[in-house]
Formats: sequence, C-alpha cells, structure tokens
Amino acid sequence: MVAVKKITNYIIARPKLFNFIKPIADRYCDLAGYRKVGLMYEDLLREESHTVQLALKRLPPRLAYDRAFRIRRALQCSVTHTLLPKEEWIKAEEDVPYLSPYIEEIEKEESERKMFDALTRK
Amino acid sequence: MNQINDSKNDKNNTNSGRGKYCWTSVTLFSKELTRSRLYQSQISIYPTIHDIRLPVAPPPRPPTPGFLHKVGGSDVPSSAPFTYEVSEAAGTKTVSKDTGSPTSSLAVVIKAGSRYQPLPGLSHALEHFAFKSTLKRSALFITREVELMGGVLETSLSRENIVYKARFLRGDLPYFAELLGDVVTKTKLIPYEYNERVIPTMENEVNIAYSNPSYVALEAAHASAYHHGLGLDKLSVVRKDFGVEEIAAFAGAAFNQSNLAVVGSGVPHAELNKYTTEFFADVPAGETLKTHAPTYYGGESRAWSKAGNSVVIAFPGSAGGPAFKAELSILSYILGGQSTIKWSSGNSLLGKVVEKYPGVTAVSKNITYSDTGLFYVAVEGPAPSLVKALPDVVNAIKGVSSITAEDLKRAIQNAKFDFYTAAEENALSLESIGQSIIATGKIPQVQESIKALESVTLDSVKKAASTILAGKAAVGAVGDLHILPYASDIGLNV
Repeated sequence: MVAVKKITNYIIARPKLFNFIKPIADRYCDLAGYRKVGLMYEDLLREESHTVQLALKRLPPRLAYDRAFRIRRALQCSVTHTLLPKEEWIKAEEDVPYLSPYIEEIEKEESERKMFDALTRK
Repeated sequence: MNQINDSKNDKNNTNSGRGKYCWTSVTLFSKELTRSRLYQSQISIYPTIHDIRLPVAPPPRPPTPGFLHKVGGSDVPSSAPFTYEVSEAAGTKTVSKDTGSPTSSLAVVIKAGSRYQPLPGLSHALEHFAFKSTLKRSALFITREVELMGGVLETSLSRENIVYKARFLRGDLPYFAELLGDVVTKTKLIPYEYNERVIPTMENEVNIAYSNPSYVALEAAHASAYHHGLGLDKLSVVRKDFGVEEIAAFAGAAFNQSNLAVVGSGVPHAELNKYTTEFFADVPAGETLKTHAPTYYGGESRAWSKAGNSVVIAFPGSAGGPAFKAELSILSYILGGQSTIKWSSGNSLLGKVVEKYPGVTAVSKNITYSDTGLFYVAVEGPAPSLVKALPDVVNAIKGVSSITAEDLKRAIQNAKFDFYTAAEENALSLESIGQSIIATGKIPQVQESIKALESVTLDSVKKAASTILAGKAAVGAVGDLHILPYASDIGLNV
C-alpha cells in the first residue's frame, strides 16, 4: 500500500510523466474489466489481513452495504458469464478510493505504536 | 529479669518475689528502668515487658480533659494558606491557587453534566471521548506521551459537570495546558473510536455502577426528589437515539467561554492565564447551557436488586458556591456515620446507631449542586438488620433537636478539617471551585467558608433539621423489596 502510494505520488508530482502515464492507466483499468461487472478498484484489495479487516469494520454502514452489494452483483455476473448493461458500469469518476483512507489510518496507528514501543528516552 | 537489678535491688528481689518486685520498682514509667541501666545490665528489653505485664499498675492517665483539651498550638493555620485568584484569559474564566507544591493539577470544568443533556447518556458519552484522537495527535500519542512525562489524566462526570483533569509535575504546565486545550477544542469524535473505545468503557462503567446497590439507591432518591433534570440517571443507561453527530452537536453547544472554566491548583496564576490565552483561544464565545430550575418533589422509589440492600433517605439540602448553607453541612457532620477513627464506629448520632447492628453502615452527606442540594443519609447492610436499623436511623435524624453544644463543636471541627484538607489538596475540590465560578463568577475564599462553618449555632442547626423533617423526604430503596420497609413504615413523611 505504502509503496504504491509512493510511486503514485512520484508520478503525480511530475506533470510530463503524469500526462504520459494517465492515458495508459485509464486504458489499463478499462481493459481490466472490473468496472464492467460493477466493481470499484478498492473492492479488489486483498482483504485477508488484519489491517483491511479492521478497515472494513470501520466503514460507515452505507459504504459497507454498497460494497457488499457490488460484490454480490459481480459474483452473479461471474456465475452467469455476463457483463452488466452498459449504463450500470462503474464510471471512471465513480471509482474512488473509499477504503484506503481507513487502511492508511490503521497503518499510521501501527507505525506510531511501533515507534513508541521502540522509543528510548534520552 | 532477675539480672536486670544486678547489684542494687538484689535483696529486695529475693525477699519479695517477682510480682512485688515489679510493682515497686520496674513500671514502664519508673525512673529506675532507664536506658542506661538496661545497657549496663546487657539484657534485652523483651523479657522485661512480658514480666511486668500483669502486676503493673496502670500507667498514670493524663488529666481528664475538659472539652477539647488543648495541648498547645492553635487551630488557626500559621499563615493564610492561599487565596483563589480569579480572572479571565481571552474570555475564558480561569481560577487558581498556588501553594508552591511540587505537583500541580489542572482541570477544565464544563457545565455539561447529565442535567443539561438533551438526550439521555450524551454527557456520559462526551466524557468518555476525553483524550481520544484530536486533530493534532492520536489517542495513543496522548497516552504514551503523558506516561513518559509521569502525568495523570482523569475525567469525571457529575450531574452538573464534565471535568477533564490532569495532574503533573510542576514544570510541565505548558504541555498539559496545551493538551487540555487540544482535547476541549480539537477532539475529532470519530465514529469508529466511539464504537471501538467509547461504548465499551461506557457500558463497563454502567455495569459496575448499577451492580452497586448504594449507587442505585442514591440514583433512585434523586429520581424521587427531582423527577426531571437532576432526577435523571447520570450515566448512559439507555444508550440510544444518538451517535457522534449528536455528541458533536452537544459538545458544540457546551464547550464555550460562558460554560467552562479552567481551574488550576499549584500553578502560578499569571502563567495559567498566559497558557490559557494561548491554548484555549479556539474556545468560542457563547451562551451558557440552560435547564429548567429544579423542583423538589419528594416521594419514594424502590428497585429490586440481588447485589445487596441499600436505602437512601434524602431531604432538600444546601446549594454550593456563595449560596452554601453551612448549617446543613454541619448537620451532616453531626449525624456523621463515617468514623474518622480506625476500628471505631465513632460517637456521632448515626455512629451510635450502627454500632448496635453489625454489618450496617449509615453515612450522612450533603451533595451541593449549583442551584440546589441534596442532604441524604445512606444506609446499607444485610436486609434483616437494615429493617431494624432504619427506624433508629430516622429517630437519630429526629434526635438532632436534642444535641448538645459539644456535639456541635465536634461537628464543626470535623467539617473544618475536611474543608481544609479538600482545599489544600491539589486534585480535590477543583470541580466545586469551577462550578461556583461558572455559575456565579465568584468563589468564596477558604477563610470565609471556614468562618461560615464556625458561625453555625445550635439553634440554626436545630432549625435546619426541623425544616427538612417537616417537608417531604425522598427515599430510594434498593435490594430485597420483600423485606425492606416503606418510608411511611419507618416514620418518614413522603
């Protein structure tokens, strides 16, 4: 998570690089196809870790409900080998990072705890 | 033993036998058994003490004291202990005293106790949000940093106030002033912190409190006495209909300049003002919280409990601050109940009652609120003895009409001691000082309050007692309701 964030920030900070990468990234997301079964990128984050589990628990009820709905809908698409009708596809502007703020906060807490645990007093 | 009196008393000893010998020459107080003689004889003192135990005449008593036998000294403190300094720092009220002690206390008293809450339990939730994540630092950061500095962070909730309190080494005032300012103005009120850390501690506190029959009985007495406002439960018993938005709205209404006071003890007033100006600058101006004026109703409420038996008998009491009625405070000391002497039940009116019923305790207190007060006697113990003790307790309250001048004197001395103790301890009485400052902008100086206590007369106490007995009592009975008597059964008017 942290490494990805670093690379992203590196690219965003350089407009030329950003302008070069952006169309490729958009095309990649489109081709990946998850939006066509109604998923957002952060629905795909690996959730088998304590950090993400805690983050999921901390999601506001509305966001948690929507996430569960999207995943069920995508599963249904997968079972029936279909895509959603085009108007139900997730649009690029709807594909927002809704979970990563919570994950980052938990990671920050963890690193803070580690920092204090390893603290020496001069 | 025999060796002690090596040379001089040898003859006496052999002639008169051990007992007589001890009687005549070796009492604990006799001049003959001096240290030097003991050393000379190279003998341990232990056999001596055992030997002289039985035959020795009782040591001379001190002369029977007249009332309050003076052994020198005066009960007036050698120097004026301190004065409370009151001022405003950029609109926020500050009050402090400085005794030059090596530790300090700083408290923010906010008039947002349970009587002001718009929804049941809001104050409790807000109190438990203390020292959680703020815009500047996380809850963990606060905890670890304060631990490193050797500080103590506390909060308390009463029907009147929420108090955030810090105790620390004298030099750390700037840090803790900043921390408390941070907590009051910048706490984030995050929903998941509420779910993960606030709710469990609230529930825990409620469970502990409500499994204690004397706590429940006092709550029940409050309910009978005031019905609304002060009568409602202090803790969040039914936690519903609110989340962090409602807590935030309540905090927004409560945390303003006319509703809170910064109270310091063991801190220089000038420094307190300086740091309050700096760190409490974000406290907005605003209106003080309102609640309807309390009406005293009186009556009885009973609750079943498996945990124990407790009965609280309450009467209208004295308000705090400048409206303080010293005679009611003195009356609670005359009734007493809580002995100041270890292993003794004391000589107060209630002390004499509970002496007869093992396992029963009866304590009388006066709780002061900003505009009213509750004077109560809390009786606790096993139900069968409680039934027998209660009529005696009521008779003791009625017996105040026949107290003597010495009872009064004892009560005044007790009250003065407790008052001075509370005033000189850094961490005590900060809440009552803050409450008085928020409500009236004034705080009676220690000497004035002591004078008020001293000027209580027999007549005023007897009058206060007969006034409260003529009115209705508010009774809360908790425990085995099958056995516990009703108020009218024990001679109370409800």
